[in-house]
Formats: sequence, C-alpha cells, structure tokens
Amino acid sequence: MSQLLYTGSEWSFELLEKVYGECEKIALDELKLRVYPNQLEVISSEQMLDAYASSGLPILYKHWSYGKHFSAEERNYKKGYTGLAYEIVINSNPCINYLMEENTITTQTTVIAHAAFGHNHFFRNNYLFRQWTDASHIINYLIFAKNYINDCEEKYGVEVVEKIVDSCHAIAKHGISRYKRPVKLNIYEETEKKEEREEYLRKVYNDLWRTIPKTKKQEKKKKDVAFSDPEENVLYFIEKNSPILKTWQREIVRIIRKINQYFYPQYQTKVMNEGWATFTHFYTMNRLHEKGLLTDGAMLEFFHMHSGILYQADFNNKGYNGFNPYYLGFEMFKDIRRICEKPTDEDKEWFPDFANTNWLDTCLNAVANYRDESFIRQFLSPTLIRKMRLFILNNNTEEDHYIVKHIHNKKGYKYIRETLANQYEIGNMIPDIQVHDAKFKGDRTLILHHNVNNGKSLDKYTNNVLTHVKRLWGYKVILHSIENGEIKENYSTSSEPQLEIT
Amino acid sequence: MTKYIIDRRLNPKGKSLSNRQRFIRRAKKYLKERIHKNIIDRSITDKGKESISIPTGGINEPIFGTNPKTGNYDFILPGNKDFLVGDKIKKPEGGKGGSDSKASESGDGEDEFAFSLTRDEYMDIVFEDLELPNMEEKNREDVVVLESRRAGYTLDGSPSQLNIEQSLIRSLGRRIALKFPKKRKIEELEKELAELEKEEPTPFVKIKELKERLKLLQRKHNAISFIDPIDLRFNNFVKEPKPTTTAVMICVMDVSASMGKREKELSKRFFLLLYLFLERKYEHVDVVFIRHHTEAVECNEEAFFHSKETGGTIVSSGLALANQVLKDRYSPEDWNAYIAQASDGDNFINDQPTLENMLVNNLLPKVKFYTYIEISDLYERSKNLFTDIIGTQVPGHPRERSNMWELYDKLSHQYSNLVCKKIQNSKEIIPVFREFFFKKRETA
Repeated sequence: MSQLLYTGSEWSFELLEKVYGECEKIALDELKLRVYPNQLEVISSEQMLDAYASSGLPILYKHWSYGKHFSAEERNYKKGYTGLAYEIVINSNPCINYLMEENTITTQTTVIAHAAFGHNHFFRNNYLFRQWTDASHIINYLIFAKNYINDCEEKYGVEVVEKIVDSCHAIAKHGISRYKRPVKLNIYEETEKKEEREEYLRKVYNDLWRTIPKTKKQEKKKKDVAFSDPEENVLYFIEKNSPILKTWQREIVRIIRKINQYFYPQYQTKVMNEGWATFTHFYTMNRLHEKGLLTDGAMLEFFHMHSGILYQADFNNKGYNGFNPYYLGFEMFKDIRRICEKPTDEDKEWFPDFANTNWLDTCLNAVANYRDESFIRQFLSPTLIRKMRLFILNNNTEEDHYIVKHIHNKKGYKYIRETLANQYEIGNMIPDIQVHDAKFKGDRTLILHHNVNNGKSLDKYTNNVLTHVKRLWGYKVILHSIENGEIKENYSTSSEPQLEIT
Repeated sequence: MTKYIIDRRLNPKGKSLSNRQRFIRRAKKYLKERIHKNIIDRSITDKGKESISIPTGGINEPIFGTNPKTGNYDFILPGNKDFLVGDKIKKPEGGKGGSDSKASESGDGEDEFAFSLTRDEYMDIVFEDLELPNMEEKNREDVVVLESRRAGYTLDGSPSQLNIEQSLIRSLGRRIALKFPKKRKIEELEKELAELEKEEPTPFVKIKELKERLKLLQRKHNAISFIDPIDLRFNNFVKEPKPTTTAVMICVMDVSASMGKREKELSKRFFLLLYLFLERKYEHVDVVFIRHHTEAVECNEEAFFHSKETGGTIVSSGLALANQVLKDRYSPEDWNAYIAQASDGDNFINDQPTLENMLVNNLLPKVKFYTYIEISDLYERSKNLFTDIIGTQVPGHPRERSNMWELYDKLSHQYSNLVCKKIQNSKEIIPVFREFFFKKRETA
C-alpha cells in the first residue's frame, strides 16, 4: 500500500506536482494514452471569466462580441445563476490546462486526469483534430491574428475593421470546406504567404490593366474557375472573389476563417471528447483510490462532483436542455468496456466485431477514428438505449401533436440509433448554405443556395445575415431555399452596390 | 513526459476589459434609453452595480439558423415514462411550433440581453454631455492644485527615487575613465605569476616586475569603488501649480410645512442627481446646502436630505443666507457660483417683494447660473392650462399657489442666467435636469 497523496482539501504546487505524477502513471501506463506535453496554469476566477469570453482561447483579437459574452457571463456568475467551469483546456502543443485556484485538491486531481490526460489525448489522437488543427502553431497564429487586426485598426480605424469582423462572424460557420483536405494552420507559412500575396499585387499593379476590356475567353475563364461546382465555403469564396475587398480586408476574412476552422473539430466531437475525458478521470480516480492514494473522503467528494457533471434530466424535467454530452459520452465508453468484458447475447449479436475483445484497444480506436455522429451510429447499444429510455418523436410542424415513432424496444433500437446519430450530423446543426453563382459578367449579384433539410426553413435573422454578406461582397446578394430541386423561399438584399466598407 | 506548472494568478486580470468597453460603446444608444428610463423610478444613491437589460437588436450577432416552427422531422428524447409507439402528444402552448419566446418591452418578441454595469459606467452614461454652464477658469490661491512633473535628475534624493540606469551609466563611465582594472586581468596576472614561480630556473626579474604590476592593479582595484556617491542620480520632480476651475453650487430647498412628502421627495431626487453630477464632473466644486422655512440654516448634506423640520415659508430668508455665504466665503473673482433652488411655489405673500429684490439686486448679478424647480401639484397641469387661457389665477382656489412661479417666470425672460421648470412627477426629473445642463446650451 502506498502513502496517501493528501488528506486535507487545500492544494499546493508541490502537491499538484505529486498528483500529476500519479495521474500520469495511470494515464500513460494503464490507459496507454499518448498526449502532448502539459502546461498547467493556475488562474483566478476573474481570469476564468476572461478566458470564457474569448471562446477559451488564451489570446484573441479584440471585438465587442467577446465583451458582450463576458458581460453576460460575469452577471450570471456574480448573481449566482451559473458556476464556473473547473477547467479550460486548449488544443495546443504544449497543451495548456487552466486550473482554478478555488478548486480543492480533489477537484484539481480530477481536472488533471480529465483535461491534462483525457482531453489532451483526444486532441492529439482524434482524426478530425489531426486533420484540421495544428496544435503546435495555434498559439503563434493567434498572436499573429491579434497583432494583424490590431495593426489594421490603427491604420484604417477601429470601426471599419469592426464592421468587417462583424460580417465575417455572421458567416464564420460557413467558412469550412468539409470535403477538401484542409491546409493546416501554420504561422510561418501564413506570414510568408501573406507577404507574398501583397508583394505580388504590388508588383503587378498597373492601372492600365483595369481599363483594358477582357476578352470573352478571359471572362469565361473567370466564371469557370469560380464555379466548377457550388462552393460550400462561403467565406473562402468571398475572400477570393469579392469584387470590393482590399488586400488587408481579405486578410482579415482569412484570419477569421482560419480561426473558425480550428473550432470545427470541437463541435463535431463534443460528446466523444467530453465522454472520453470523463471516462479518463473516472478511471484514474478509482485507480488512485484502489492504490490507496486517496482517502475515502476525497472519493466521496469526487463522486459528488462527478455525479453533478453527469446529470442528465429527463425530457419532461424542468431542467431538460438537450443531451448532456458528458453523460452520453461517458455512458457510451463505459458501455463499450462492458460489451468487451461481459457481453450479453444481445451484445454479441449487435457488436460481433468487438464483443469479447480488449476494451482499451476498442476505446482507443473509437477515440482515434470517430466523431460524434459516426461514434453513435457505431457504438450506441440497446442496453444504453434502454437505460436512458430513449424514444423518437416525430414533429410535423403543421400538426398540433407529436407522434411517438419508436421506443426502446427491439424494433426501435436501430431507428433510435440512426436518429440520434443524425442529430449530431453537422448538416443538422448548421444550415447547408452554398455559393451557387456570382454574375461576374453581369451585375455581380451573388447567389446563395440553402439546401432545405427536413423542410426546415430559415429563421427571421436570415435577411440580417445577408446584409452582412453584402457588406463583404459589395453587390446584391440573393438566397434561394431549395427543396427537392424547387425554390421554396427567396431572400435578397437591396441591389444598390456598396463599393467600399466604411 | 515534460510538464510545467505555472502560477498565472498574478497575471493581470481584466483581459476582457477592452472588449467590454467596445461592447458598451456599441450598446450605448440602447443603454442610454434604458438608463434614462430606469433612473427616474429608482433611487440613485444606493447603487453599486446597475443591472440593465437591452433589446438584442443593436448588439445581436445574426447567423444562419433554422426556424423551429417549420419542417417535419424526428428527434430523440431521453426518459420515456410510459409512451408507446403511435401515441400522440399534444404540443405545448403556442400551437404548432415550439414555445414562443416571451414578449419583451420592444414588443417584437426578442429576448433581451441582460448584464451589469459598474457604477462608473452607469454614471458616465447618465451624465454624458452635460456640464455646468458658463464655467470660467479662475485661480484661487488657497486652492492651489500642484501637479508633479518630471524634471531631469538630481544629485541627491530619497532612495526610492534612485534612478539605477543613470547611476550605473555614470559608475561605468567613471570606472573606464579611471582605468579600473578588470578582475579577469588580475586573475590572469596571478596565474602567470604562479606559473613563473614554478619555472626552473626562477626568473626573478620577471617575477618582480609582475608582482609590482599586480600590486599596482590591486591597489587600484581597492581604491576605486564600483559605485560611488558621485555616480548616484535621482529622479527629480517639480511641482507646478495647475490652473483650476472652481465652482460653488448652492442648493436651496424649502422644507416648510407646505412642502409635502411628495414635494420633498422630488426635490431631494433632483438635488441628489445634481450632487452626483457635480461630484463627478468637477473635482473642485464646493457644495453648500441651505434649507429654509421661515428661517434659513446652512447644513450638511445629511441634514439637508433627511431633515424633519417644518414651519411656514419665507423664501427670501434662504436666499439672504445664500447671499451671505457668497459674500463671506465665495468671492466672485475666485468662484463661479451656481444656485439651485427647489420649492413648491408657496411663499408668504408679503415676502414676495423682498424676494424679487434679493434676486434682482444681489443674487442674479453674482451667480453664473440659477436654476429653480417648482414641484407642482398633481393637478397643476390642468390648472395651468386654465391660467394660461384666462391669464389670471383661478379665483377661489384655497391656497394662493405659485406666486413664486410667476415671479421666476417673469425674471427668467429678463435674465438669461435664470431658468425655471416645473416638475410634476419623477419622470420629468431627468429631462428637466438634462435641459438645464445640456452642454451646448446658449446662455451667455
């Protein structure tokens, strides 16, 4: 039996060091996690609020919307409506973990296991993060972005920069090329490229060219280049093709697009990421206790916190606010372990490929190669569906009744699994908007298409968003909602060109 | 596996401060409306933080989203109790769609965004673009404001003002000038000496020469200090008098029996607002409080707002005291004087000529600005309308109302530095206050 790590509730830096060492042993030796080096930073609650306001990023360009979020968070916190997160972890290399100073040592231990090992492993190994983000360069890129936008504000004025950023934020979620392999963020290349782009433009600038009419072929070429296919990356299209943006303005559009790309994997892996981190801390804390390193009191405190994190309200409960990703993810990983270790006949029938295999390998494989949607589609078991008593409702908005379509029975499992997986599909979270055409030869109208999903039309803010698009594009913007090949609804901005952002 | 544990608690907090300021700048228009609306309904003094909610319109960040009231789709819920396949569940109120968002004040059903302002932020907005009119820069000898300004370096000073950089620059220069031997050089010579001593046959001449050189260097080394008192430089500050803007504000309030609870309450509010405004906008404003019934007393702020005394009304007593105060303590060469008076308009009829005399001959020539607010009766408006039409007082009214108003109103046409307004309820306080002190008012 080893010595207890601690007995009280106060933490100290030496103690954090010791605790980290023990967590590390379990995480690396027993759970076989592969993580980035960790950087633990102890912060105060005010600093935690600050971190909230900038989407958890340690450095971000200045914008009023972050002040708005900060003000709301601050009020909610000070009035006691919400507590603060125990930690924030940043997908960077080294992996930055913020620990709050108010936490007890038991909380800190849990947080270290949860973030420094669970999330960290997920960031490093999940395929989406590997494809879309470059942990080694994100911090440098953020510094570059902040400085660049700051410089622009000094050079061109805060207000015009703010307008561009506002408009970019409005369509930031549509700044991703889902099916193309993305280029990772790389600060050195970015800076170099930026300079190259500017340099090239400087060199080739010749006012005469502007006045020479283009040949038909050139005109045709331009259109062809832009529209081999509809472009789903609206922001990218604007960055490259907007007739009115100046070089520095394009650069801002690019920066915001790139920073949003960094978040893309996060909202597609919320359930898995939190589930895996929770699974890791649960495993670690139990192992620490088994090894005799934690007191029973510390474990009780841990269970109290753990169950708080995992609270999942039923649909008819007042506090119901959708699925709790911590709960769903944790239960699924726990369930995978159960299926691997003690499969029932039903499990063997449903999961022949991994029932009775090594549970850790199966979990690590899931972490590396799935996102929420495919993870649920693959691993949600009938046992868990029964445990959570999931059921499908059909909502036909024309009717005044919901209809129960399936419940947790033999017939329903498959549908429930499909439907839940679909709910986590990106197309269900963000409307599918694509650039369809831009009349370069005519009046330069930009035509967007919205591909209607399940008959859901766009909400009342659509025209506001289009105004933002127009600000970046300069000319009229039209949006068609397309359902089954037919135009269902039309939205458009005024047709008066606005050739400069002022 | 490497790791670092860093204590960041000492890092500056308030990283979001500039973003917050940007946000407040952006939301200002909405904040202003809301604040002016809410300030009149509440007391201004007991506020640390202001909770303000504003419609999201001006500060919302629209993104493409779907309307939850459209479409035909399946969704999953947890916690089935006893539903079976095919059960129909009535949708919650709001008919076909999801629940409606609650109606807000703006009426368009949008959610409001709520957050807290600090007291400073709040006051900034309340008192934006207001100032004391006719302010002049006047220098008063006993209110000398000194400002510290850097003025190079001095040879002596307190240790806390020691300028290390400048001192070391001089130390270095002195050492170079005096050929301060380097420690390395001495060590080298010592080493050389040790080696020579080992040599066979011993080169006595060389050793002797070397020893002398070494001795010289060591003497020098001991003689020249690393840092000498003459190297020391201290930051020097000189204090310079700064021109100041000094003003005195005299608040005169009627606390006689004819001032009911409502009247007192309203004038209190007006003065409170005024007091906060002065305290905030100008550092050197003296405020004098005078309350009066048949006799006037100068009192402190506390007594001014919380006095319980009552009696008859002789307004001129208050003004006479104000005049006395001005004469004794605030000479017009040094001070800009402002008087703010609140009353219910009742005055002892025989006092009227004295009052007019006092105003015209003593006070109005002395003061920069004179504000008079009359807390009028709840029925005053209709009565006024009547008076305006007929041009005389309504006969038979039990009490001779507003004889003061007539006087002040008359004088305000003759004297541009007198303004008067009637306040009927708390909602009018802010507009009146703003009208009095709006920055670009054209009074000469």
